[in-house]
Amino acid sequence: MDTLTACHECDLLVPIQPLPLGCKARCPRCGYTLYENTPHNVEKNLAICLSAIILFIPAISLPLLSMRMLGQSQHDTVLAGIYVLFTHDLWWTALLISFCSIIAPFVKLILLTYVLIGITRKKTRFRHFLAFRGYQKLDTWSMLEVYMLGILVSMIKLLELAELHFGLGLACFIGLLLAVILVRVTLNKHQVWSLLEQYRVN
Amino acid sequence: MSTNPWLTAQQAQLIVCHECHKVCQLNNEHSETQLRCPRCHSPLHSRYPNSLAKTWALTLTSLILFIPANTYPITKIAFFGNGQADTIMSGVIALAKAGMIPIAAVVFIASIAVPLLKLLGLTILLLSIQFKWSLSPQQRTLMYRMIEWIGRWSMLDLFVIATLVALVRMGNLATIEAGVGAGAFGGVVVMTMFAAMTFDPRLIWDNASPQKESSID
Ligand SMILES: [Zn+2]
Repeated sequence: MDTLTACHECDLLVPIQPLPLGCKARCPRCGYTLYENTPHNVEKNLAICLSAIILFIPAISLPLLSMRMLGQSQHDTVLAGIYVLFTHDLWWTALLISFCSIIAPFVKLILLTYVLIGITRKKTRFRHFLAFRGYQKLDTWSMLEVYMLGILVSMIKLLELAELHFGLGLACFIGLLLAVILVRVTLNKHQVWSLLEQYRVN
Repeated sequence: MSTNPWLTAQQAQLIVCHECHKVCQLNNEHSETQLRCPRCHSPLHSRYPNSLAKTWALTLTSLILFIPANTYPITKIAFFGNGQADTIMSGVIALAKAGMIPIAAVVFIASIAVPLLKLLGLTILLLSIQFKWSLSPQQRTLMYRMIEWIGRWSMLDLFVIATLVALVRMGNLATIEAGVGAGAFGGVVVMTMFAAMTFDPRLIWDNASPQKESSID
């Protein structure tokens, strides 16, 4: 069974062949990426995950932007946006935004770190498999890059009305976003699954 | 094993695990509902159960929510006591009138064009499978991938609102508040994302493959 794979998007059976480094195998019928041989350094990925986790707290709690208008000033953080929506009785919108900008990306990072630690110790258990399944499920709901575009759009909207300043939180947010994108791009999911199976102890 | 190059896992009594991509043998002792992947223990399904019915339900729900999302105000802006409520469309028009055409275009694409095209695309996919339309499966797969990839970007307007409500709280000078429309709009985005997830793209190929097989023999 391990010499065969089936395409996720059209169910075609395809034999698995060894690939040269850096190449992807695509489904001959629909073009879906079946598996790839990309260099995947587990330690490096783990380091990026840990730095992203460290950046998380300042990124959501420090000011992203501050605005000055006729002597008054106000700043914005990810948490403040959610809090204000809650106070306006828009709890459903607030919940949705906190899930997509805080809960999903944060839990994703924690789960991946846990999986990668298991792999570097060469001891994986059933809970590591569950954790990686959870990581894959949360993937589409983590929307930091959409939030970043939202900050840019709000900035341009307000530029003519008031004086705007960047906050330290914005630098952390951009750093976090870059780390998350780097993790997503360098992670080879197929390899993680086979490593999890290879090091399984129970 | 057959030499037919277009043999699918389902025809060969195999199931590919959706989570970890392991190919598993379908044995007849268990019904499909009880099967679990031996590697990652997720439930195995040759095709997602009730994929069409679920996708139809979610698509129709988001179509209905699209109406309040566009008719109720999503933001209420007050400058020096003068209040103004904006729907998604009137917000786009206001941006365009203020000369911010590129931003107006981004908001229009993310909040109106993308959700509408997604709903239209899902409806076409569902109808084409239900009524066995002979549309190119390659093009339909491409459409499905676009729908799946682009869905999350519709959240843009909600993140803009979250940023603005926190930033513009200037007492009597200026305030921006979120309106009811924002909640309905969030519903549209979430429902269309779920619809794309419950849709099984393998159904596109299931009734398209026999032609191909006969041409090979
Ligand atoms: Zn395929």
